Amino acid sequence: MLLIFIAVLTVLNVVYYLGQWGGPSVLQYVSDTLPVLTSFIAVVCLYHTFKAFKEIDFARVSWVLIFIGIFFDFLAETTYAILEIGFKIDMNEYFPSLADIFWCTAYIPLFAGLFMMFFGYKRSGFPLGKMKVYAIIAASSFVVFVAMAYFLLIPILSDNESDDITKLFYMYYPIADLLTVIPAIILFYITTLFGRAAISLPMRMLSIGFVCFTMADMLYAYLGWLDIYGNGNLIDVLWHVGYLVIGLAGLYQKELVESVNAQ
Amino acid sequence: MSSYTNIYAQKIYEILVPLIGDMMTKGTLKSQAAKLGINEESIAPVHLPALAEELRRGLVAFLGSDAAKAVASKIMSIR
Repeated sequence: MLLIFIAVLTVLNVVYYLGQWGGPSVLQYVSDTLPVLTSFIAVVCLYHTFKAFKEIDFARVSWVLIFIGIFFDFLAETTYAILEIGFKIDMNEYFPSLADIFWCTAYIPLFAGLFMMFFGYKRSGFPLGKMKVYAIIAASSFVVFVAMAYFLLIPILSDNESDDITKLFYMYYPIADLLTVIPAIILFYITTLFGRAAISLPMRMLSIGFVCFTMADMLYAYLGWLDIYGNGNLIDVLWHVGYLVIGLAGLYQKELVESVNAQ
Repeated sequence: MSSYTNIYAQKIYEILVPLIGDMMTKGTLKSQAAKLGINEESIAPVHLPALAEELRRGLVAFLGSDAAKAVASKIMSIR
């Protein structure tokens, strides 16, 4: 059901953003409430996920950390919506805000959760796959970091129009995203070792969700710094899909655990 | 679907393959049997507790302790 919902919502989201019917105020309302809705759905799904684990162990703690991170994201999205819709604050000018503090905080448990999943897998005794792939991931990450530094971080640092706090927040997001997406990509690779087996689906969906976030955040950092990001930008779709796919990952995990326990 | 002539190996395979896939199941069975100094076709009831315990530890990362124990119990109760 959630998969169908994701597909339908994504299509509606893209169509509406392209058409922007109702004018700027409706667009703002839709643009601000969709991430609140999608992050809330993810929070509910992830809550039920970690509740499916009966004992406190690596697996449960990993999913609890993912839940906490996404909950902070939900707080951030809600705060952003309240500030922009309720208090009529131009969030493109009011940066960083309380919402950004919540978003920045979210990365910490998200990274920790992903790292724990990888560490838990490493302890499992199952094969890690080809070292060559890890070398490619490491080299690619380095290239991405260098490109990010050249096209984004250095120009931000050199910008005399922004104050230091603003620059710090602009730079925090892409760096934190890169640090989060690396374990997500590694987990995605690990899932390929299991083919289409049940165990691979939750981690695979989780990885896809974080890749969506990273792509959206990097594009946002660039557009935001150039001051050309606004309500109704299509990159928002990546955030919405990211939240829902992460929620879906949680539901797949819950289903897996419950089906094994029921046998 | 692969098959073993050894009934215990085959039953363990059937328990694990929906969870971890064909390639990983065969690889895991081979490596865990080797740790016990046997091959897959030599698995006997006396080996089941050790195999179940190793597989349980491996599955905890994906399923949590409870569900991993459930899988191990299924393996232990193979007749």
